[in-house]
Amino acid sequence: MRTLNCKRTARIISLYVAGDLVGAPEREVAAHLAACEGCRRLAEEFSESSSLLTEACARPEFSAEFYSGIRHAVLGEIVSDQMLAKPSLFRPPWLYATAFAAIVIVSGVMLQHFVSTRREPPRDVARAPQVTGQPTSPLSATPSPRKKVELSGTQSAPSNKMPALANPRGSSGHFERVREPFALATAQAVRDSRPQIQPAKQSSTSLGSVALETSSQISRIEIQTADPNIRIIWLSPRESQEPDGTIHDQDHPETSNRK
Amino acid sequence: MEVVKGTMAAEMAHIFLTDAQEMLPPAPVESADYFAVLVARARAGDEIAFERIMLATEQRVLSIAWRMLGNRDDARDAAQDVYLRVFKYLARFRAGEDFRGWLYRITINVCHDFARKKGVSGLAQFDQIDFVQESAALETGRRGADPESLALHEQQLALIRSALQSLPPKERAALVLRDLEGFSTEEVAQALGSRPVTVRSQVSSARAKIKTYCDKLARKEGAS
Repeated sequence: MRTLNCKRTARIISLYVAGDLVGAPEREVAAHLAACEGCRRLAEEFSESSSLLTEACARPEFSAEFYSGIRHAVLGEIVSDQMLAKPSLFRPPWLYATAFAAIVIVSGVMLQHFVSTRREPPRDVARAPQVTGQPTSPLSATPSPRKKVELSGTQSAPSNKMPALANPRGSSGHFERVREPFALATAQAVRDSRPQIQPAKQSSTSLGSVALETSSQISRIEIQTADPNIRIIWLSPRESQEPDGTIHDQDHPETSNRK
Repeated sequence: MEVVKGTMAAEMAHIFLTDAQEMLPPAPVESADYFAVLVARARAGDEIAFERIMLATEQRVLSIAWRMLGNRDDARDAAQDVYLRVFKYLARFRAGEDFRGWLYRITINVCHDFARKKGVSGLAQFDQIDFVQESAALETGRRGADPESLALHEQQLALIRSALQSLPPKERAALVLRDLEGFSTEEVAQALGSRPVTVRSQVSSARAKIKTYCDKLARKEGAS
C-alpha cells in the first residue's frame, strides 16, 4: 500500500470524511490519519464544518398550503395558457383545409365566369340583328325557286366572310344574320336599276321573323338558306301610291318586283 | 378582463385539483417505472398525471430551490418556474432517461437563472423568517444552553449560509446536491450534466471553502 504524505492527504481528506473514497484510496487515507496527528485534526475540522453546514441549511418545514399554492399556481397558469393559446395556435387542421378549399373553389368559379364573359362576342343588335325562330309566313318558310338569287361577282364576295350559319335542322326557312354592307350594296344596285321606285316610308313587313334592312327607297329581306352559298334577297319598294289613288302592297312577294 | 380570466383559471385549477385529489390513489413508492408511467400519461395530455408528478417531487424541488436561493419566496417562484418548464418541455424528455435527474437539472438551471437575475447581493442573505424559524427550532433543542452561546451559534449558522451563497454556482449546486440533499456523486453528475470526477472536484473545493470560512469564524470567536 502506498504511503500518502500530508499534502496529498489534505487534498482528498474532505472526500474521505464524506465517504466518497472507496477501495485503496480510502485505505491509504485511513492509514495516514492513524499515523498523522495534524491530518487527523484536519479531518475533524472538515467533519465539524460539514455538520455546521448541514445544520445551517436544514430544510425548513413548508406547510401544506405552501405546496398546494405552488401546484395551484402552476396548473392555473397551464390552464390559462392553454385557454389563450387554443384560439390562435391550436385550431384544428381541418379548419384550415376547409377554408383553403373554399377559397380555391370560389376563385375557380369566378375565373371561369370571367373567361366566359370575355369570350362572348359583342352583340350589336342594331347593326347585325339575328333572328332565330320559325317564320310566321308560309311564303318565307317555303320560298319559291324564283326567290333564289345566285349571287355572283362582287356580291358573292361578302358571302365568304359570313360566319358559319347555325342551322341544325337544315331547313331553308330559318333566317340568319343579315350583313349590312352586303345589303346596302344590293340596295344600291336596285336603286340604280330602278330609279322610278319611290322611296319607301318605313320598313314594314308581315314576316315577323324575317331579317329586315331598310334603305331610303326599298325594303330588303335576306333569307339565308342551308347552303351558305345561296342567299335569297328580297327587295321591294315600299308602299307606293298609284296615280289612281289605290295603294298596292309592294311587299307581297306575288306582286312585288323581284330580282 | 385579465383579472377575470386569471380568476377563472384559478377556479378551474382549484376544481381540477380537488377532483384529482379525490380520484388519485395514494402516492406509491417513487420508482423509475412509476415516473415513466406518469410522464407518458402527462405527455399524452393527462393533467392529473402531471399533478401527480408535482406531488411526488415538490418537496425535493422546493428544498433544492430554497438551499440554492436562500429564501422562501424565491424558492416558491423558482419551483413554479421549474414545473412550468417541465410541462413545456415534457415532449423533449427522452423515454428511458431518469426523470428525476432531468427534473433536478431543470431545477438547478432555474435557480441559476434566478441568481443571475437577482445578482450576488440578493443571495448574500438568507430569509430572516427562515432564520427566525431555525433559531426557534434550535432553541427548543437546546433549552439548557446559555442564551449568549445560542445567539452566537445562530450567528455562525447565518454566516455559513451566507458562505454557501457566496460559492461559485457550480460548486454550490454540487455541494447542495451532494452534502445537503444526500445524492450520490453519480446522481449529482447526472443532474448537473457533468462527470463524477468533476463533481468530486467541485464538492471538494466547496467543502474546503466552507471549512476555511468556518475557521475564520472560529478565530473571530476566539479573539472576541
